[in-house]
Amino acid sequence: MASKSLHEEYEGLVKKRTLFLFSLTLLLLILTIVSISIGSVKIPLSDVIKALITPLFSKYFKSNILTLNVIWNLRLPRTIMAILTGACFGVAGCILQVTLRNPLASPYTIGVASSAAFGAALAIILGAGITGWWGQVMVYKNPYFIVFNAFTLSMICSLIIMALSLYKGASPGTTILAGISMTYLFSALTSLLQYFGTTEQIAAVVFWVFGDLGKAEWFDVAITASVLFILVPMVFIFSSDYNAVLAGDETAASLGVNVRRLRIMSLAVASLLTATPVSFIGTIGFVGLLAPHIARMAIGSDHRFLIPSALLTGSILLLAADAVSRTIVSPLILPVGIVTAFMGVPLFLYLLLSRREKYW
Amino acid sequence: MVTLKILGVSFNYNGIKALENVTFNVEAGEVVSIIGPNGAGKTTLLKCIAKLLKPKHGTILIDNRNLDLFKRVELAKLIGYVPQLEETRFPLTVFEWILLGRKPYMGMKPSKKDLAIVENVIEELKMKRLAFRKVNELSGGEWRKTIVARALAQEPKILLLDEPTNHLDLKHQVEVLKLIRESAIKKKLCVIIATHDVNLALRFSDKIIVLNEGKIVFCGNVKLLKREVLEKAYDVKIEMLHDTNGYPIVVPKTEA
Repeated sequence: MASKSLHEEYEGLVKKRTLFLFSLTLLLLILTIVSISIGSVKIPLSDVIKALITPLFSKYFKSNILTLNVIWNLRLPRTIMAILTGACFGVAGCILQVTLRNPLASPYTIGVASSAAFGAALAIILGAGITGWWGQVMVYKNPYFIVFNAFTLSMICSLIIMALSLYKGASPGTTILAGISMTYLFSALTSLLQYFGTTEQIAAVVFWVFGDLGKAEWFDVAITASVLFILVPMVFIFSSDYNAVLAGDETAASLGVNVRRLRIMSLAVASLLTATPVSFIGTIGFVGLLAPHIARMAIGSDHRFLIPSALLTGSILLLAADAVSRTIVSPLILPVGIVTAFMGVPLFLYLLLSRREKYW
Repeated sequence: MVTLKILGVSFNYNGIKALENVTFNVEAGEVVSIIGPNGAGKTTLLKCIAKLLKPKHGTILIDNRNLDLFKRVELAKLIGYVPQLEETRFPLTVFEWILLGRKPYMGMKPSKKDLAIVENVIEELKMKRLAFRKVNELSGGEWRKTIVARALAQEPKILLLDEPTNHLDLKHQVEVLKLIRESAIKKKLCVIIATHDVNLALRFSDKIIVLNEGKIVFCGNVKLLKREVLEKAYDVKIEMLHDTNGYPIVVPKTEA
């Protein structure tokens, strides 16, 4: 140890972190295959792998049509949606926690969940949206009517939060307070709608709020994947700016970072990353709060590593929660949001309490 | 060789005066300390020079070029700033925290040179033992040194230090200020220190500025500073002694 120079030691740290990212990726891959194999119909792992590569090598492999159908039309969209959603939440939570410098920040701090829920309630209870021609076009395909309503409302909400925050100099405190007040406002609006809704409508809203990965179709997967693949590289190139923001706004500015721009960009990216999957599958809590924390405990606060590992941790958490939700009281499928909390909270508390050193 | 000129700078916070017509120069290799009572405008002045605040009147020139014309990134390579308080303590290591100072020079990945500079600063400040400790586990003094180290790793031409010796014990106060002084001479830096520690300021500066209610009441060589100026600024009776090297020492007079 003593003979090692500091930069060698630092490079060792970097190597260790890269290795950690690789092992997370591997874990995610294994979990994906396992998750596809389990469910009401158990499919052996070898069949899963065969079915996954059949379309690519149809000359060499033949899979059972039923297995192919179950995997490609039922299990795979759900599984991939779980991975993508977890990834979106992990990254969104990560950039919000650093730019707002608050350990409690999560994608839902900026009002996405409650405004999306209000959008969905609007569609379910009043059968009307404010999406204009968008809604008109989509009204014949009922599920997407709700999706567009939820998405539009959450975008309106985050624009309001961004405007309020910018008006007051985009300080973390103002942004959080603006987010929380919007959350309350939209919750109240949803309650108001529910007050006038029928029992069935209220039940539909409640189910929507629980979140259900089973709703995911390939179209949803494609849209969510595009949003993720465009936005994540965009924030990733600002990794060292996020690192500088750890030292406070003034220090970051003195290091050449445009803090206001970074904060507003992060708000916009985080709301898009969250609103997209939430509009498709409903609100799923905790992943966006927990994943960045777990990742940070594991590899520290260098965002060049933290952003990808929050992404992977989010995916793994949600995928695992989904697998459990489908199997624990099978054939009944529990809402994944409930399982996420049941699994995530003990894990988080364990990590938090088992650590000797101060955290955050 | 860099020069810094502050010309008639005034600033107010929503009408509350903080700086009034402040004018002085700093030459390369010079250490200037700003002293004065609480609320005299020391921090505001540093923030104006760091372009974190915009003066209401007056101009600040770096190498005879107006501060307004500098881009943020350009300025980050010129000015190192150590704020009075830096509270957020995320679990980065000391090495990584000091590496933040290389931010203006690097893209995603620090270069070999960036790492070498950080390593160098750590060795100069005798912090090798701490290099891979988490910053949120440091003592107050170690933390303060880490922040100063970051500003040094930035390799600025102008160093603005707001209470750099806060929380440092006697030994570390001297160590840090000596290093700053040596770097100022060796690397031809303009250094401005805002401090409450009058005696350290007197000991380690070429020039002293006494600020009171936003106005400069004294600006000049340490040895020319008169007891009456300090007494008036701090509103307390003062005794001025001299140490064996002829540096003035200031002690408040007590009744008992």
